[in-house]
Amino acid sequence: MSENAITRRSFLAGSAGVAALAAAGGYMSFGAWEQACADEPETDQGSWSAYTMCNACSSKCGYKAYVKNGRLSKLIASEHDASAQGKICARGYGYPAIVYSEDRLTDPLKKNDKGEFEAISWEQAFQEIGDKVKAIIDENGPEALALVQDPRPNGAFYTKRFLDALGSPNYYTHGAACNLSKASGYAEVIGAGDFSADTANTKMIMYIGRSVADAIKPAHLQGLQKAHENGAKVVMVDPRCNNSTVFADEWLPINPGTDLAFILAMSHVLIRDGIYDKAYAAENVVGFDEFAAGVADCTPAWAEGICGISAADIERLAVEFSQAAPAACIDAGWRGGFGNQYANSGETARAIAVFNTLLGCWNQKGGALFTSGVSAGKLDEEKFPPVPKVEGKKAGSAEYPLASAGMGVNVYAASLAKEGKMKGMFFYNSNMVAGYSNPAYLQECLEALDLCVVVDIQMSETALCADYVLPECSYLERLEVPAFNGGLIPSVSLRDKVLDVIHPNTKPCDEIFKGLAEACGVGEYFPFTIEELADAQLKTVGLSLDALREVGTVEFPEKAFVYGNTPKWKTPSGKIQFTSEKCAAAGYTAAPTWVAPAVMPAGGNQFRMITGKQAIHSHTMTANCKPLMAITEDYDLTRIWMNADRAAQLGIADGDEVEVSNELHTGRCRVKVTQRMNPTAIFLPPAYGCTSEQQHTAYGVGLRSTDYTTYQLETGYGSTMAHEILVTVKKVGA
Amino acid sequence: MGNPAVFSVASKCFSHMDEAAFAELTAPDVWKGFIDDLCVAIAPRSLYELLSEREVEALKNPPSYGEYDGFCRRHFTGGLPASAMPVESLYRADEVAGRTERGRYGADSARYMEKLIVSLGLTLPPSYKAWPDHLALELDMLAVLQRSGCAEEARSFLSERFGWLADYRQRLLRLDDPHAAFFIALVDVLIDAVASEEADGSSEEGQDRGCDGLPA
Repeated sequence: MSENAITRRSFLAGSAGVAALAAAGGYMSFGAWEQACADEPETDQGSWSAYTMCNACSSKCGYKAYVKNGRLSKLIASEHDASAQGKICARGYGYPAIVYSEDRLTDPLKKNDKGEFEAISWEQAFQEIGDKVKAIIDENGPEALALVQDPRPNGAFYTKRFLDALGSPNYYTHGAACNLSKASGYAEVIGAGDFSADTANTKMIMYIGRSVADAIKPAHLQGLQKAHENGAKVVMVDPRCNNSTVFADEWLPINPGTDLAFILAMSHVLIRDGIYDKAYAAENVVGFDEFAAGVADCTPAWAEGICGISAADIERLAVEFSQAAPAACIDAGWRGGFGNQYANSGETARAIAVFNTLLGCWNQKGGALFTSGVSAGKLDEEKFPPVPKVEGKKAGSAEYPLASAGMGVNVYAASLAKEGKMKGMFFYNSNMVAGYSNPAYLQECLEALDLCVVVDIQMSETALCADYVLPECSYLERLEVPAFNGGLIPSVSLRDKVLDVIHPNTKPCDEIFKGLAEACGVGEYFPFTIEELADAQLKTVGLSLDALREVGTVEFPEKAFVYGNTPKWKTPSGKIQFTSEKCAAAGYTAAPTWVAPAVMPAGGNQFRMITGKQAIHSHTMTANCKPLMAITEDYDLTRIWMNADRAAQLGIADGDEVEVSNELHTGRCRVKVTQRMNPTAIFLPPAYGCTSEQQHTAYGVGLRSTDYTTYQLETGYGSTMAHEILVTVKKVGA
Repeated sequence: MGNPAVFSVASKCFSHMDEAAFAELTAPDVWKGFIDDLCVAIAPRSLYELLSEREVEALKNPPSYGEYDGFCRRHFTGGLPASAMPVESLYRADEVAGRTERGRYGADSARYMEKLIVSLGLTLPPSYKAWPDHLALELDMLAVLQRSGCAEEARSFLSERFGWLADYRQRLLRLDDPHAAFFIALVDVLIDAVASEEADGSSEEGQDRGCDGLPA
């Protein structure tokens, strides 16, 4: 054959390559290039920068990212960003490596008849998904569609708008596997799903199952450090002596699942001794007497038998709280203690809101605050047409009436697929299968769907179940809508595009959902670009996209929080509700009383399995990141934690390999034997146990707690009860 | 030195051609010409000495476009359970923050290729932005250098760039796909052709001239 018109055609030089190259003469060997790189001085010269926000967890810390020669060269935390406050954690520095991961999805995918994924064009993906969505709506109505997302600025806007446009009420966050019970329980008492401890000014603060040094938001960690340095009393209540305990005065290794008994007993002491804020309660509370009657028998001695904390300590702590009040509170927590863990998580949250009320600490300096916020105002309806209000009730809202309406019970929606009631589901930034409840069960649910669409950047366990996988570009390659942050001084931050899109056939979230909407026949609600939307939102608060791009974060000092005001309680009575008709209707007592966890370990070689955060990982999303997994390897972080006395009884030594079993799963790992652990439980580090082979870094490393979890939901609240797991542990070879 | 046509055709095979380009390249006379050129490139050995019988057959009888296209969609696509991306960055060990790592896009080989393409006045196709060190581009670069009379540069490039093909071959071998044999055969002959070119080069040392026409 030799050279001809076909062979002479070149990707690099076109058909006239010969002449072009002969004139260029710019060849350099790899060795010469390496030397030139090594000789290049390390400066910012030739680099440019943009403000963005981390995506390695939900905190979204702001930083300025520098780019040189098209690659990320440096990250500098934003001083004014609400979450970062000048610091980024290890996740933040390590996670950008995901941008260049070999496991990045590069093209839209469709599962073929053999169950293999094949690349298809965006046009084909949109068209086929659109046709299937229309068919589902025609045959079953929009209620047969659902969407689950783990909120990020763009995701929260575009996915909600997309589902609303389709007319489906079934919009869910990841909450049922995170903070649903906490938020829902608080809402029943104080009409809000969260509050902020004023750590910088507190005299006494108690954390229950939350470790801000492990589930890091730098602003929280700095607040805790400041409280410690100010001489505040810091109490850590956690079955595991977590890494925040270095700033604590006390660690109380409570029996897992019994926080409710502990709080009820402290409340009992405050009421019994009359050392609560009587005037505040009288003015703001309904249902006080019923609650007081309910805790009359919840003595410290009673609680000691359940939670393992001595009656004397319970008495003492209650008194210390009363002395520190109102500059004192139990921190709001997030997931760790009662976000979604036990059969009593929602009731624990209610009890905490009640306890803080007894301290009279709401909106008091050093107490628990409902800080101010700023949000985008109304947009031009011609440019941003409003989506009609969705009729119908979210699937699961009747079965789990206490669940926060904004979050919903995501796994319940998936379970309806097995009954043929849910036909199509979309997932954005959500790995439900691996992270929410039992993976085998959830896989069956998704496989029963007529249509499953996953938007992600890598092949998650959920993506493996999908009919279509749509590849998003990474967080560093896209602009998002502004993030409005509450706080003592509200602010707005921007995730701007830092890098050009690496894989040309990936798209940002906004373009994906706009494309889907057009294909589904509801494109009329998306006639704007992300730039236009971001700019319009910012204009409603007196800013512009260009202005925010310059500085990354803008604060609103005129909206700063003011101590001492009484919040407007968004409850049915307009007051703080120690009693709740909804809770009573859902099968609980009207005022929170003791609810036992669903399971209790029997001793011997049986333990409760609990999880929590490690400072370098966030659920399944960071495990496939090489720099972060390298830390896991360096510090042997996949080991389960076991109490030293229990380990000795079982003949297990530090570093031994053990088999962890229950009726659902058996797996092996090594043991960290420590006194930093409650004897009734083992702590299984989170984020590990990936079963997606295409996640080369994470696959097969460590164990995954959800494999041991039964699909079960907390009565009324709908959380996944992630710590209601019993396992046996035995030394391998023993 | 060498026959750029061999590397040019191989380059196109790894590029996920459209149907028209595939038909053009695999037209019987064109493909036979490629096989003939290959045989010259690996001489004195024959294809049967180098490849298994199945691979020789696969090479002599390229897949249909449907089979080829399906293979590319399943295996030359990133992030899939059966991905086998022909990208050097994924197979070369790189030093990252004091650790030796492999398996990330945009490693040194990609940065080098990006720079080389620009410095030679060539253009990186937009669809290869994420992987300037894709096998299709590296083979194309080699063909362009050879075709341009840059024998010394071609030899330098050839000796530096294709050491990863043995690891890539292993990845292809692990695929459960009947059409992998075609690509494995291509990689095998490329490995041999590269070795032959290197060997030829060392025996001709001192005779080469660079792009500028001066003795290398």
